[in-house]
Parts: sequence; C-alpha cells; structure tokens
Amino acid sequence: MKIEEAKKTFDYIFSELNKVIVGQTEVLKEVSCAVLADSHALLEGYPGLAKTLAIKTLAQLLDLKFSRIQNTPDLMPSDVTGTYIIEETTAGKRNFKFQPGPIFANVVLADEINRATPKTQSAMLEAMQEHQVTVGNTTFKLDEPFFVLATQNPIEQEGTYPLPEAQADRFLLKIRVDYPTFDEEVEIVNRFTEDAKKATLKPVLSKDSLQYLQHMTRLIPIANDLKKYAVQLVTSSRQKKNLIEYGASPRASIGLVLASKARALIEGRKYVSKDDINKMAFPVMRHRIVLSFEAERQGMHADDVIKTLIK
Amino acid sequence: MPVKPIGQALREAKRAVMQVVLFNSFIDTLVVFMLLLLGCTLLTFPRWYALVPAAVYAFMHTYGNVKEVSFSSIEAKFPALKEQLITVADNWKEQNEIIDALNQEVLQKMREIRTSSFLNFGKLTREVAVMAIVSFIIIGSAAFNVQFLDFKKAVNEIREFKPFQEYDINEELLQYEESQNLSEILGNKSITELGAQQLNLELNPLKSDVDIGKVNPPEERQFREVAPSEIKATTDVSFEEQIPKQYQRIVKTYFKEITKS
Repeated sequence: MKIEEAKKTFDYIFSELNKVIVGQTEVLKEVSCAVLADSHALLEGYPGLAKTLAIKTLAQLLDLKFSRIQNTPDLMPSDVTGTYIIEETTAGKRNFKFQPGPIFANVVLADEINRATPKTQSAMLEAMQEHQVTVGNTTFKLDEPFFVLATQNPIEQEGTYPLPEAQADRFLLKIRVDYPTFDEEVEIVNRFTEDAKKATLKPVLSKDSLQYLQHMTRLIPIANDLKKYAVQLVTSSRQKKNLIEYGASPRASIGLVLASKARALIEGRKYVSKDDINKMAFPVMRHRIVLSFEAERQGMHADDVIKTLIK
Repeated sequence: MPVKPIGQALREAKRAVMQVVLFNSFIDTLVVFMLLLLGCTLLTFPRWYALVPAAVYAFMHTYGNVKEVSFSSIEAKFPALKEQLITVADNWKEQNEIIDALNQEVLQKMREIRTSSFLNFGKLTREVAVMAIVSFIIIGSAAFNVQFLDFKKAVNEIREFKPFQEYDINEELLQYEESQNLSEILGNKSITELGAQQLNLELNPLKSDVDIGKVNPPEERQFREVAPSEIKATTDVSFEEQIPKQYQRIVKTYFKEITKS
C-alpha cells in the first residue's frame, strides 16, 4: 500500500464516520492517530457530545473484534479480565475453564472509565501496557491489534475515581471533545429528529490492513531537527516550574513523535512536519502535566500552558 | 556501494549553495576593502593598511556565512521542499518504501532548483554600484591630491607633543649649609674668576652685520614732570625724643667735633 492509498482509505473512513457523526473532525483524526500508533486514547468531554458513538462507529468501520465495558463503581476486575468458571463435561467431569472478559477484544470501549474503582482501573493497566492479562497463575496474550478507547466526562466528580497519573500516562492521547458549532448542531438535530434512514456502515479496514498501516506509521521518516524539537517541547514542560508542577515523562516524547507520524500518514505526507508536532502536542501532553498552584490561580488550563511551551 | 542519486543530488545542492555563498562573501569583502582603501587615501594612511581589516572581515564574514549553509536555508528559498529536504538529508541512508518514495519526490522537486535563485540580484547590483562609485572617488582623490588629514604629520605632532610636566626642583639646593659645595648655586668657581681678568676682545666690523657708521638719531621722548609742586622739610620726631636729655649735649658736641675734622 502506498501513502496515497493510505490517505484515500482514511478519507473514506472519515466520510463514512461523517454519515453518523456530525463535525468533530479533529477528534476523529486524533482517535485514528491513536489507532495507527497502536496505542490507547482517552476521550474527555461533556455528556452528549457523541464520544461513545464516535468510538462505536469507528469500531464498526474496522473489521475487528469490538467490546464495550460500561464502568460502574461495582464493576469488579474479574468482570473486565475474565474468570475461571466450572464447566461440566459430557462425561460428568467438572473442570475449571477460563471465561475471557470483555478485555479480550481488539477494540475495547471503556465507557466512563472514571466511574470504575481504582482496583478495576488498575486491572486494565497490565492489559493496556503489556497487551496481556494475568488471571491466577496464568497469563493470557491479547490478540493484536489491541487498543482501549476510553471516555470520561469532566463534570459529575462525585462518586468517580479520577485516573491516577500512572494510568493516565498509559493513554497516548487525551482527546478533548468540544461542543459542535451552531451549524453542526442544526445538522445533528435534523439528522436525529427526522425519520431518516439509519446509515449502514461496512468494515473498511481489515485486521491485516490496519496492522500494515500501523507498520507504515513507524516507517514515516522524521528530520533530526524536528525530533529534537519534539523532545525539547516535552522537556521544557519539566523546566517551566512557575506553571507546571510536574512535567511530562519521556513516554510523552515517544508518544509525540509517534502520534505526529500517524498524523502525517493520515494527511498523506511522507514526512513529519513541525505543524504535526505542534498539533499533537496538545492531546499527548495535556494529561501528562500537573499544573502549579500559580497556573491554576491564573485560571489556566493544561492547553493554555502547552500553548506557552509551543511559543 | 554506489551513492544513491538522492545522496549525489544533496551533495551537489550543498556545493552549489556553498559556491554562491563564497561568491557573495567575496563581493561583500571587496566592497569593504574599497571603502577602507578610500579611507586610507583620504587620510593618507599607507594603502596596505586597508588589507588587514579587510582580511579579518573576509575571514569572519565567510566563516559565518559558510556556517549557515544548511538544507534548512535551501528550504527557506524553496517552500515546496519545506521540511522534506531536511528529512531526506537526515534519512537518505535508510531504506524503506516511504523513504524511497520521498527521495524520488524530493529529487523531482530539486530539479527545479536554480543556483541563480540563491543570488540576491538587488544586493549584488547595489554592491557593484557602490564599488564603481568608490573607485571613481579613489581615482579622483588621488588625481587632485584630496586629503582630509596628513597622517605622517599628525603622527609626528603626536610624537613631539609633551604633556604638562611639574618642575623638577632639587630640594637639597634650597637648604644652605656651610660645608655645602656652592658651585651648583654660584656656578663654577674658575668661571667666576674670569670676571677679574681682562678680556681681549676685538670686534671686526667686516665680520659683523652691525654697521657702526650707520647710527640712527636718538629717539626723542617726552617725559612727564613728576616732581611735586611743594617741598617741605620736617625733622624727625624720633631723633629728638629718643635721645635722653643727659646725652643730648654729648651727641651735639660729638657732631660738632666731627664736622671740624
């Protein structure tokens, strides 16, 4: 597959997604970047902004095994990873058999992840990082490709368990889902209040094709100067002590370069540009920095601080 | 292993840009040298004095310009190659389908690069014009001997100039002692004795510029009367009063006897 063909494929995917999702082009692009980088994404936005719908629709376009975990405070780790159940054979003999949980899929939608208890959240840690699950004494490899696309909303903090920094760091991108524009909202109203025919989506990308695109992403070359620029952007977050209490880890540098490569591929470019790095710096770094009291006192958000780093 | 076409193209591009940069530096240096030469001509400095600062300028300017030659500077001239040329330059030794495709694309675009596009014709025209004008001024000033300052004369004046000095007085000379050798104050004793001897001097009027026979008449001068209009004699009071009465007769007698002798 050539770069031009890859671009055509993504253009088609986006056009199919637009049959269901109105607007949110940037969100869809960033989710695709996470998929191409073979990593996980956390979508944060207010309720009703089609976060879950976007992920479900994307999963439909990928010919992959999809599962959904609706996180609640009473969700147990075994509900995610799976557990051993007693199975009776035809001969009447009883055996323990592993019943895989919803984590055993290629695309896992962890809806409202901050509603799960820390114990359940951390059960997903190993799966996200190692692409394997350990239950009892047995470790099970997860099928590749594997990525978790989680959602959470920034309000309704009562009864939620915000993701600890260590777990948030496992997500390559934290994608902010904003309100649609006025025209987009009118289109949403038209689409969902009229008796229109429901869009039928067919899988566009097979597992092999997706894995090949993930391989292509890593082949995209990047100039040394731009690589240094990306690393400098991340390291500068550790030096800006007046605004940032804790800066981003080297994992952010890796993520930034990889996500920039993925963006270049989506846009049909054979090289990474500075613009890719600047755009991907927001979703890569916004959940990896802890703002200082001074920044919070000034009413700054993580994105405002990242803007100062890019300048 | 043969060098890839993209590798050759990158080398050629860099070489071409380097040549243009060296040419530009040479022209810049020439302008600076001409201006310095004009300065030396007008201030009558030795002309080779212009060579030293021109050589220093040439070295620093060329070094700075050569240091700035990079693929980024080529990209700045050709926006179509933006970020592609540096990517290719950093990865041309790697081999994969994407890099190969990018190399081909960049190679295609590099064919459109003209060396002349690195020449700033506006700047070049201005510099040639400056050189022409300065050359005419140098020739003109040499022909009409125009000088703002005579350098040699100024240097000599500076050499001869002595700043204010304090009087160097030997403090010992200000103190008199019996045993002191007075020759430093009064001069050589043998010379002072000359004053008592007769000098046999003879003036030869033929060897002298002074014409004794030609004497001008004395200059008449009007003197102002300074004598007081009234003269009166008074006796000194102290003479009378300070001699005690019993001695006054003796003194009178003394003066009478003196006048007799």
